[in-house]
Amino acid sequence: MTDYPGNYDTRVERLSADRLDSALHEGGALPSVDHQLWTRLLTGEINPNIKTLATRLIITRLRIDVAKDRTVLPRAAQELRRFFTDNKFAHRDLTAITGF
Amino acid sequence: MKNALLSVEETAALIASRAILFVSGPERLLRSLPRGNWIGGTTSYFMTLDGGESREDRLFCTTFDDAVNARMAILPPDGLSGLTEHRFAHGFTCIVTPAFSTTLQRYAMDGPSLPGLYNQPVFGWVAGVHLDRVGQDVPMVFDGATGAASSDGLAALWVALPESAEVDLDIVNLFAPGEGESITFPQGGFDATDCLIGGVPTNLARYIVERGIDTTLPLVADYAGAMINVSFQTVDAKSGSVRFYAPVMPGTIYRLARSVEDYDAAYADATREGSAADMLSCNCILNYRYAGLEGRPTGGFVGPVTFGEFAYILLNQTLSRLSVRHALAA
Repeated sequence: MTDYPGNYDTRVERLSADRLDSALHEGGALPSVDHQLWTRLLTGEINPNIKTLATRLIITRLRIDVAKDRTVLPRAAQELRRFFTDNKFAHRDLTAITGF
Repeated sequence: MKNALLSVEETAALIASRAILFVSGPERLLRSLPRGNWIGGTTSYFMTLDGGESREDRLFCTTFDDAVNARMAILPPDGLSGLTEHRFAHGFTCIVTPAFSTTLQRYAMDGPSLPGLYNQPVFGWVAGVHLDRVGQDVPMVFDGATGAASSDGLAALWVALPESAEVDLDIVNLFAPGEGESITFPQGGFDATDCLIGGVPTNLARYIVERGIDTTLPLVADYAGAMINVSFQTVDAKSGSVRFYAPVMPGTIYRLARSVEDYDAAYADATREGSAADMLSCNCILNYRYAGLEGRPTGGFVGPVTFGEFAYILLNQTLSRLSVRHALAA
């Protein structure tokens, strides 16, 4: 059994859209900052079908940072996770991201 | 949001009505406007419903009639962090900065890393001049609230919207990466000499000249699904240097763009999801020149033709568009 996708996917699917937004605002429905999803996303191992321009640009900017210096990965993961908790407009990209 | 190509008198009347405006046009006209809730920048080119045109007697005005509040300022090159610090809790920011300025260079390099930049739309463009007067006239930006003008600052208009309003910022890029070798750069910046082409150390300028590569086509990189261009400004095989209109980034894979077969059809495709005339757009002067957009419609998109575009970051040879929509009442 792989670490991901796992319980997280199931938990998200059970939430209504409103509850998902609420949960995301609290940071509760997102994988923790040390979850390997962020590493895979920020190293380019996975390339989900992102729709929102802001999400595309922040992911790319953080990928460039990580490519230059791998030690910034935890900070980059934290920044990206924070982006999703802070911005409701980006939630439509989470389905694509968590589908891997 | 309402767009119109207006005379100075018509624009002054809008300002007098306390409208919140983003204005583009010739410097002489911008200097004659009264103080009010507006920012502006110079250009001599516009996209209208009838097609691209050069005008010295009109200002392109976008009225943000959805706005509930606004503030404006000209930020200096070392004060760009104010861009995100001064914004409202819910809204967007319009920016304009002069071509060839230190501020533009600084924003292009440092802007992408501004804290919270991607949390709220940042739309704008690079002020220019008439192509016949490059090197003679100086691109300028204006803060209508104070009457200040600047050849090296970033004019910002922070707009507050009601909670019912949603902003959409996106780009229309007609270019896609071609089938050629990957190009990567060891260092970022507006200038490049050596790079890796297909993994082989190569001087980019000589590579371009030796192969007769068409530099009206940009380099294109895939930014997690967004195609981002870097356009060629000069290529000098003798010195071995290339200058770009936007910085290349290390760790990013670029490819030369493939040609666009049909500009009209490509812009028409881009407008299928909504009425482009209800959006604020800007399109690049390089598209205007290379694609021959004078007198040709661009899918209904209207706005200034500019020396660079912003959709959060600096863009080249790209159409940037901003729209505001309201949630339906229950």
